[in-house]
Amino acid sequence: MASVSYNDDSYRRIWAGAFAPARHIDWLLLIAGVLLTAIGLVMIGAATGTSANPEFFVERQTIAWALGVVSAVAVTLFDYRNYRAWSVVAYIAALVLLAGVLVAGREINGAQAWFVIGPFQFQPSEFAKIAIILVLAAHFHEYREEALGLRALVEALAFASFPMLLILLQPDFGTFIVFVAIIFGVLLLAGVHVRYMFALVAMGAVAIVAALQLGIVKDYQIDRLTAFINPENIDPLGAGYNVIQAQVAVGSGQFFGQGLGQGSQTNAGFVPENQTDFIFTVVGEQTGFLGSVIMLALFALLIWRGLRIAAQSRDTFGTLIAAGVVSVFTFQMFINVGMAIGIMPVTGLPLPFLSYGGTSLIASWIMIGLLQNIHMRRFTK
Amino acid sequence: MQPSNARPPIPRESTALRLTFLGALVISLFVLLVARLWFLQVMTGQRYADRAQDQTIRTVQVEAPRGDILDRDGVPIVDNRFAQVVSVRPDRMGDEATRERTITELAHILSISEEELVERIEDPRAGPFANRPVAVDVPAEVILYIHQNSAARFPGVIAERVPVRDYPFAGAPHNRPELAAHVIGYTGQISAEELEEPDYADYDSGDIIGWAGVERIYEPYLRGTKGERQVRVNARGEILEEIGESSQAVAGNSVQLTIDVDAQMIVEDALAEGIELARSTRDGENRSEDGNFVAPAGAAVVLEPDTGEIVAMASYPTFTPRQFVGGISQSDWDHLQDEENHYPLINRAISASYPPGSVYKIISSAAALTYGFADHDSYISCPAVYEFGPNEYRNWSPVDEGSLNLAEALKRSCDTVYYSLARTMFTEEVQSPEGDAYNTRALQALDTGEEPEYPFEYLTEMSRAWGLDALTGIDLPGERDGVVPGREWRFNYWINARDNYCYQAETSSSGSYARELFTELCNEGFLWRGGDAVNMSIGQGDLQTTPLQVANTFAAVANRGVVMRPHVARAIIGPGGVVEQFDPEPLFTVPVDAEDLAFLEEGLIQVTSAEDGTAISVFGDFPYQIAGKTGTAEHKPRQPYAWFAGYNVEPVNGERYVVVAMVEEGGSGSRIAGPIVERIFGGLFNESVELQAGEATD
Repeated sequence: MASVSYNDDSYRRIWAGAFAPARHIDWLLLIAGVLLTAIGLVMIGAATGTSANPEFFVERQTIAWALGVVSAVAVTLFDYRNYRAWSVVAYIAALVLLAGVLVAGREINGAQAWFVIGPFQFQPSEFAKIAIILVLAAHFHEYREEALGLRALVEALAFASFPMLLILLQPDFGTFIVFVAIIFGVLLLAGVHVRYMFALVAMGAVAIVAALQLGIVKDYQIDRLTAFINPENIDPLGAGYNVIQAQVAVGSGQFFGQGLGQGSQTNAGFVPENQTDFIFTVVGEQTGFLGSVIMLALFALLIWRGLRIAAQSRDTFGTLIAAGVVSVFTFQMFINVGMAIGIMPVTGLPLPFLSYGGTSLIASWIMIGLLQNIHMRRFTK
Repeated sequence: MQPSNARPPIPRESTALRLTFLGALVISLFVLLVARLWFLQVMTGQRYADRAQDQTIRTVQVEAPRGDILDRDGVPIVDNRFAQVVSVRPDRMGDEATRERTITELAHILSISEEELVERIEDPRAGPFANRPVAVDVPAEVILYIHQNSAARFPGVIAERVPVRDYPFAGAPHNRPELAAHVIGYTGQISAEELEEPDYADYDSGDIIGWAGVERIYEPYLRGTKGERQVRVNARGEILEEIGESSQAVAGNSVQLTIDVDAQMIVEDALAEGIELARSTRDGENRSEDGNFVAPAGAAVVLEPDTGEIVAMASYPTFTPRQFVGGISQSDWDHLQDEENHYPLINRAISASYPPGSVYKIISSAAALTYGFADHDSYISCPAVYEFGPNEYRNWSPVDEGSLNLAEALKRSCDTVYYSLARTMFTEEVQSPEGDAYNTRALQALDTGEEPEYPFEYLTEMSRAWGLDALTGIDLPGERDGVVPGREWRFNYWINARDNYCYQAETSSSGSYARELFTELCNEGFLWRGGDAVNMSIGQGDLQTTPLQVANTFAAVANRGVVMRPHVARAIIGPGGVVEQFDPEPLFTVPVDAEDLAFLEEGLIQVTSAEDGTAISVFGDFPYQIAGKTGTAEHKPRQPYAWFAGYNVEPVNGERYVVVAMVEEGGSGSRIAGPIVERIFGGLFNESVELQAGEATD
């Protein structure tokens, strides 16, 4: 009986070789992601409990989470350094999808941003965020050994400009400025000279003023963006309505909240879209200041781990991916919570992990997977 | 095969610095969020909580049932039941397309036509923000269906359980949906115009108010006090849950009527049967299509002369108050307003006036006795024809009846006796200082614009003293006074009608009778002639009275002068008992000696009891003594109006009643109206009386 025999020690060595990186998983990051998603499921349930089909939203979100976890595991199986080469493929795929959605997509809430296939909706701009993070990180990785000149910067901006233009055509202004945030985060950690950064900010300001002056931005859009500053006076039943109702919801939660499923504002339809963009009003009203701060603390944990991973990465590529992911999470969290509590304009951005929406949740978990990948392989030669 | 990667290219210090900067930025964002949350939720959270409370909790009014309407023994004639009512708020139906879709679907599930639904929604009588009821007694499954789909498919549609008027006698075993309809009246939604009126200052759009009858007059008592309950609503204003009642709806007070339902049923039946009888009776002159009496309408009243209480009051044709519950349909309303149906909503006992015919002879007689034209022993000849100037005035009876005193004149209803009395009175008036040259003065008055002075007019004065030109003040809406003609009335009437007379005179073909008549009316229409006085003395000409005024006339004789204010309500009854009592009050006393009235009563008794009384054929075998009078009022070109009025002289079971019956174009009073009254008395005294035509007299 011819057989190859291994002793215990050889097993252990094979195991250690293949799965060594898994021992270095960042448990805190994983726990933060799991808890935030779980809170999201509870809040979606609390927000939709009075609707016609209460299980519908939670069930679909749970399925999306499962898909997200599978995708995240898949992303961690291969050394992230392979993705440098594949980043251009991802980038081109993203451009194709973004262009495709303008042709074959469906318009929902005024933006042509969704592919609808049977009962499923898919938002390509969520994946475009990942693609642009990868391609920018790979791009600056190429320049890691030389001083960053204007050329590298212009090339990076050129990469970013194509998907951003396509997103603006949907139009999805919220996602557009998430891209701005990504660029900012990556440029900052890539070591772009401070004076270039300032120049970019100045050019951005000029662009905004020009857009306003030339009437590219419509009046109602300006109203919607500025309504949060003085919602009661400007247009309390129009643009200001959501802002007021969202604040009433969050404020009425007081310290301990009204209890899960007990929000008069969020359960009686005063706050629109409260399982998606305004999910935080449910957190604020039903769990109060206490619950809101716990949620923010979990985001803080997530972002701290992300920054830590950026700092500990064994190469520039990893650092910059982490910087991009941290930018996405931080920026979306801040804008989303900020609009619910009246310090940021109302833009249609989901709260990562919490808002109902499959593409967003899967994309967030892929980004968790990327962070874990970088963290797990920080010692790999 | 890992891509090789030597060492971090960027100087560690730079990356660390930039990471610190990024970290600081992130921390500052978190600080901002937490600070804002602290402000919103902890520092000012209470304010927002109050505001959330305010906009989700709403106060909803709870409809209160109206008070009941009871008969004199407390038997409910009108009460309430709770019904599922579907109504529509037109201002909340959304845009045109939504509205049309809603109407189509609503009409389908309510099984009514879209046209009818639209008609009800667009009811111009309703206030702008009123619920328009579109269906009453909607099946439970339809209500449930509307509730489950209300916001999405039926915007502006409301399904609620509300108290509505109910009529206990409408169903088995009585099956009298029309019982006392004209007395109790009906209800309806307050109109936009009524909302403006000060009487309805504290009413809201959509409130139900009394529109007619007792429902209307006693509205302030019958109306309940709405309750309030708190409900939690969503952003679309839909009710999510009940929170509680802050004030309970309080039912209105009940009105106890003087009406006796048993008597009322008897009176309604007797009137309807009498009208049927008239319709199958030949008129002898072929003045109608089928040669019978048309008898389209009539009225009957039972009055207690001692108190003025109305025990029963009927008007024919009648209507079904139940039709008004939840809003009357346009077709039903049109039916009630159509002339062909003789306006069933009119209460002919009080809201229509007719020439009284010979029942008026009581007042003519009283005038003669009171003003000294006759005494109890005066015997006045009663020829078949009375000649006055160029004209001949006939008695109803073709034979000379010899000389009669006034009691006998009433018994025989001799017209010619009254003609001669009227002529004497007229002559006296003309010869009085004011009467002298009245005609000349009246002509001058046309130029000066001042009314001429009028002489004392005996019949006119006596008629006024018996209240014929005034309202009786009965507690029912829409009462009419009568018409008491005389020189003043004639003069003012002519002033108003003159232009028309003159125009008619000019446009009539020359030489025609019409031209002659209108020319005379144009030039001399103000004249009060002897012929007018003669006609008036037997209750014809321009004289008009309501059946209720006739009842008062007989009450005056029965009471020897005093007439009590007629009324239909005895008391207001609250939850704890009587709230307000309506005591009998005198209305007027006629200026006639009691002995004279007793003398006239003798004549009235003979009408029903003497061998040659005009109503002996009707009351001959009636076991109780009735003082009554027939009346057959000519009202050409129509058929005569049949009257009978009378009272039981001795109390029966302690009660006296005045009963009046009148049938428009019903023919002879003794043939049609007398039997109705006999049947009513029979019912009141538990005597079985069959309605049979009497012998035609006057």
